[in-house]
Amino acid sequence: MISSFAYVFDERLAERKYEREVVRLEAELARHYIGGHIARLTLFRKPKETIEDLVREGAKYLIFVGDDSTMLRQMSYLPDLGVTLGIIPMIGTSILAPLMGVKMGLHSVSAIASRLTTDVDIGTVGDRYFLTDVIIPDTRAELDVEGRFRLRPTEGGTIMVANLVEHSSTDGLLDVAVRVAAPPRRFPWQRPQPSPETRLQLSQGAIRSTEIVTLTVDGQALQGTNFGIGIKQKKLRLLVGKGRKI
Amino acid sequence: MAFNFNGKPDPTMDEVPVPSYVPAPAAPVTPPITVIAKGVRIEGDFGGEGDMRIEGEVSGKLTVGGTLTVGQDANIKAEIKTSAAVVFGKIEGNITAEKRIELKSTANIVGDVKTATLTVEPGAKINGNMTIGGGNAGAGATK
Repeated sequence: MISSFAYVFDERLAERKYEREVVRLEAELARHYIGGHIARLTLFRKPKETIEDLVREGAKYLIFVGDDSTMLRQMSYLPDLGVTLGIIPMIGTSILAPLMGVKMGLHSVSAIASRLTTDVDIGTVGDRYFLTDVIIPDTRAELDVEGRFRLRPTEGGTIMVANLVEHSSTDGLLDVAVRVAAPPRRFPWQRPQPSPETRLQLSQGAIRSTEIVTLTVDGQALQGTNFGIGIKQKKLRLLVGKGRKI
Repeated sequence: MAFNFNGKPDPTMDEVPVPSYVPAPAAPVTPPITVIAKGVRIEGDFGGEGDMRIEGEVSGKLTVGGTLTVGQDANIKAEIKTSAAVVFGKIEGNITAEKRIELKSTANIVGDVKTATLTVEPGAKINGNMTIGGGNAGAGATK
């Protein structure tokens, strides 16, 4: 039997402290008849090759087991694979899980088994995709919006271009926020800055800087001076739970 | 998972995935508010369908589908077309509002004003022509 489900396990789940949880998860998947190939990400093999192998072998649903970064680290090429993506959050906390209506740990399996899907927009920066956001911290870079106007923080600030926003994940627009007072909180326990925020939306634009800037794209660093940004509407299909917010 | 005749799961048959597609929850009907905060500069042909609040700098052309609010610290050098406007700060350029313009006591407009209804608080400054009411009605006035 070739299962249409395949699971990509984060390398951290190989740690002894997760051993029991992983065994219980595999049993839970079998109990819901959604068992499938399991690939464990390792340092010694490129994740892209591992994931492309799973798709070549017939996977239609690719489930990332770990935390948000387990899937987001691979997001730059996933939308082109034509598969439905899901998550089973097992490590730490998850920002994606509540948006996707998926519970933590073993409780997420029933949502996966229900095969409820929704299509969401996917952002592009340069030649790669992003699901959540692009952040340019502490910058004077200029944001050219659709060739019509240019925006920049006069004394420097943080530019954030978000794709996956509650209740607007299929509108074909990216949400831009510019914070000029301070960069986003460095530690989770710090309170967010109450400073006013610039907010607007765009479907296409470019980030331009005279100096090399470091962008954080889905949590991954990217360096350069010029980046085109855009959005592909309903390009990505996600497995979601009933309580989804996207 | 398919079942065979004795009621047990049949491992030789593939599961029967019946994907149910659900559209995303509906987006809010009202267009989002665009905010240009202090410390941000915009140059060019800028605009938006919904309401807009400007506290920063804008130069060029500004087209707003909803109500434009110009904050006290805003610095606008633009040709403005909007549905309605509430002005606390300085505008250099002509402003046309389909419905109404409210000039607060701190407002300072250097340019022509054209609108159906104009409300001016004591202390507001206008240096330009005013056309109030529908069509081409209105006379030039300087305050």
